[in-house]
Amino acid sequence: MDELRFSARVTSRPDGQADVRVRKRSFEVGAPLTFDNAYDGITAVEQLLGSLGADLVNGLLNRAKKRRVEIDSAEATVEGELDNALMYLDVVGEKGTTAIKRISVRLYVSTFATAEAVKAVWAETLQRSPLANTLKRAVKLDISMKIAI
Amino acid sequence: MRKLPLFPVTMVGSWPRSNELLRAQKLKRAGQLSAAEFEKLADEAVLEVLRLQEKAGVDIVTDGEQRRDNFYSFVSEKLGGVKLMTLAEMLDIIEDKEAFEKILKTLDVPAYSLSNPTCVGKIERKTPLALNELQFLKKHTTKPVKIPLPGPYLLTRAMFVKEVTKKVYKSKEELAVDVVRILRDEIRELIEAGADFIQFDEPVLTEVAFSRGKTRTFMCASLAASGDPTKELEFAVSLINQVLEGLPPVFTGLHICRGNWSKDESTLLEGTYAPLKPWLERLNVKQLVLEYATERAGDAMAFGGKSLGLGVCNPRTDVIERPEEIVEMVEKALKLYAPEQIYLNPDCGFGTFSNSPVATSGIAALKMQAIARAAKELRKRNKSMNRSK
Amino acid sequence: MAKPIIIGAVLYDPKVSVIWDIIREFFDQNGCPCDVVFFTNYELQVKALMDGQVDIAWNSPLAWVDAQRQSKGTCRAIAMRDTDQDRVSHIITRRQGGPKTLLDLKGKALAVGAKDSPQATLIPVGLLQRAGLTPEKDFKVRRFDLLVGKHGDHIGGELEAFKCLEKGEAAACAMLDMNWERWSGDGTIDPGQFGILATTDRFDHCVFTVRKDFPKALEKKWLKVLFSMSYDNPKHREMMDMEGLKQWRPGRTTGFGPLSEAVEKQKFFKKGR
Repeated sequence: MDELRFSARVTSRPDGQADVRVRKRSFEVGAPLTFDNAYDGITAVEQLLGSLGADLVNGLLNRAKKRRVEIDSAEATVEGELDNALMYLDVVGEKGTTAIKRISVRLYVSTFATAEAVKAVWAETLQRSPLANTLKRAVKLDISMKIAI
Repeated sequence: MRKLPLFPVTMVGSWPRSNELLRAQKLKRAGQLSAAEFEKLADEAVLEVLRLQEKAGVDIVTDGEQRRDNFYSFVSEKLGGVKLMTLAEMLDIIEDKEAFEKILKTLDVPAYSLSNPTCVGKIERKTPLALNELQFLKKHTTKPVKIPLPGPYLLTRAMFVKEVTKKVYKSKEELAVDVVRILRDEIRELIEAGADFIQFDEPVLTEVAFSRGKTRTFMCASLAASGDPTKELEFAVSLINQVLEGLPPVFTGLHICRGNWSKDESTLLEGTYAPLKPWLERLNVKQLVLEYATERAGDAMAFGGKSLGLGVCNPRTDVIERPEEIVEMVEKALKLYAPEQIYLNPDCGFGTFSNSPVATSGIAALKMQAIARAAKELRKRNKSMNRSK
Repeated sequence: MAKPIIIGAVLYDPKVSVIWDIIREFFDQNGCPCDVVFFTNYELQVKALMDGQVDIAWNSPLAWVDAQRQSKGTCRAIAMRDTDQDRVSHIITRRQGGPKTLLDLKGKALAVGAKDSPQATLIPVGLLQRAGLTPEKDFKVRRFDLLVGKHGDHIGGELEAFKCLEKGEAAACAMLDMNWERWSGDGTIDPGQFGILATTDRFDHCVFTVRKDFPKALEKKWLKVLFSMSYDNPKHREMMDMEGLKQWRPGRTTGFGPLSEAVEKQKFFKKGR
């Protein structure tokens, strides 16, 4: 069942970034994480959070289309919190791990459809989300949705 | 202004929009509803808001900002050289993304739902900003009318997005020259058309005073340098006074608050008016319309030469203030102000941002009724006190 | 490449590591390579300094006093920020109905920061002791122990102490002069309602500290690079703003008197931390 496996090839570059090649596309990812807002790259942690958000936003819109529920737009904010960020910086005397311990997702949906219809599609989206279903086994995953006009 | 009773009851500005009006706003933005069709719907909405205010006992009415998306972004439709940009669009061009993300998180809204009037060309008035609002109200009420306008400092700060504006105006000071001119033209027309009360909204002043730029320091936060807001506050005072200089007499006010976007009070700014006092006193406005119902604003203080628009109810809470509580608040303020110097109003609008109002129309009506009842009681007390003198 | 000099620093926020990265880069570029080791508290940092695991420790004033105590007065204070010198702390009270002298605090509560905060606890309590009041006998000490071990590097405890005063749960609170200025300017404190009852003697704050056996030549080389930072140089200015200073100054030991006295009187190191 090779066709059911997904893969990416990640190659280092001299500038500290890595090239990620998938199918016929590629993108770049930088350091594992950064505390520097001026850092010029997309970190692996940010990629992960962005991927989860995209999984939910696009998952919702695709499913809504299929169910003929009209959604104008959706946006997710995804926040991840490390168990102890100071461990990443090798701070002597700190305890804990660098694992992400909690991810919270706030999803905004703009629609004139009924709240019931949107909630039904949303529940289905969550049930079928590859990333949300994987991550909830490993971290505390808080997901909430807000409908706005 | 026409003769008013003591403790006149007034609004700060906005009233929650109906779902129908919100849908119409959205369709208009998408080009699926003509301006004329929208105005027709908005006329009806304004009449309803007017009816609710009159019924509640409001003495100086507003149109509830029903035609506006929010208290300042609506100018983009009226001004040439200004483009309404969603925050999602702005996130792609601005350097300080972190600050914008913070705003969005606090507001709990998506980036595409907030729009900023961004200066992209030489600005000019295509149509008056609020004259149509005033004319419509005047046709349908005999009560004095308040027109809230975004203040010159707010407009300049919001419109000057350096990444795009710098191609047209070298600095925000340069843009401000045109903003002042536009507002002066507007006010002249509003006065001619019989505006009773013109209020400038300058909510960013609290942000300037309270959230001083804090620098990270590599040792201890206690020794971090803090930014000096003096320059910005001077700039704001000079703009507001320039707008008013030499204009025919009209009752003017300035409204400031600490944010009105969320019912979660902890997300809003906190601090007394003390750091702003020297600047507020130098403004050539007659009244300061201030929030006091929220504890975050501290205790009432006197401002030399100004009357007070006393905020006596919190638009963000569902609990309706009791008239007795309101009377008590006013009694406190009466230690600092003469009775004729005090107007009563909510802390802020009830629907500052059209798509995230902080109250329902029902709650807004009940709160205004409570204020009117308190005003009645205060007038009674004042009368009997005068008699006993 | 020469062996890097090891600098020790206590980290209260991961973002601060970015500033140390910039400093490390600056020293590298100027031919004086340094590595930075972070510690979770000053106790571990002072121990590492004593054990020779770090060469230069960026010490809080209390860590300096501790290092002197442990090294029997042989450490050297080699550099500090201009902002570290001549600080004071204030005792803040309500203007109306509050105590009028320090002695009025008798039988009342003083709200302070963390137990190891020089500016928000030790030195201000020392001021009351000098006035003849004994803590927990003549007045109650209401401590806000935020991030103990980091010697009050953060403002949390001081802010909590002020809130305690504001709520009427203490008659006075202690805070650093810079916090008084900032908070009474930004609306956190209404200076019309609260005022300064008393002020401590001047004291110094953080200081780069070395052991006596740290080679003088290396110290000279390192200081030369540090003192070459100039606020007039736009390239340096950004870095110096982040560091919270306008000028690096040679270290001095004359500004630790009030803290040493407070530590002694309050038996800080004897009580255990």
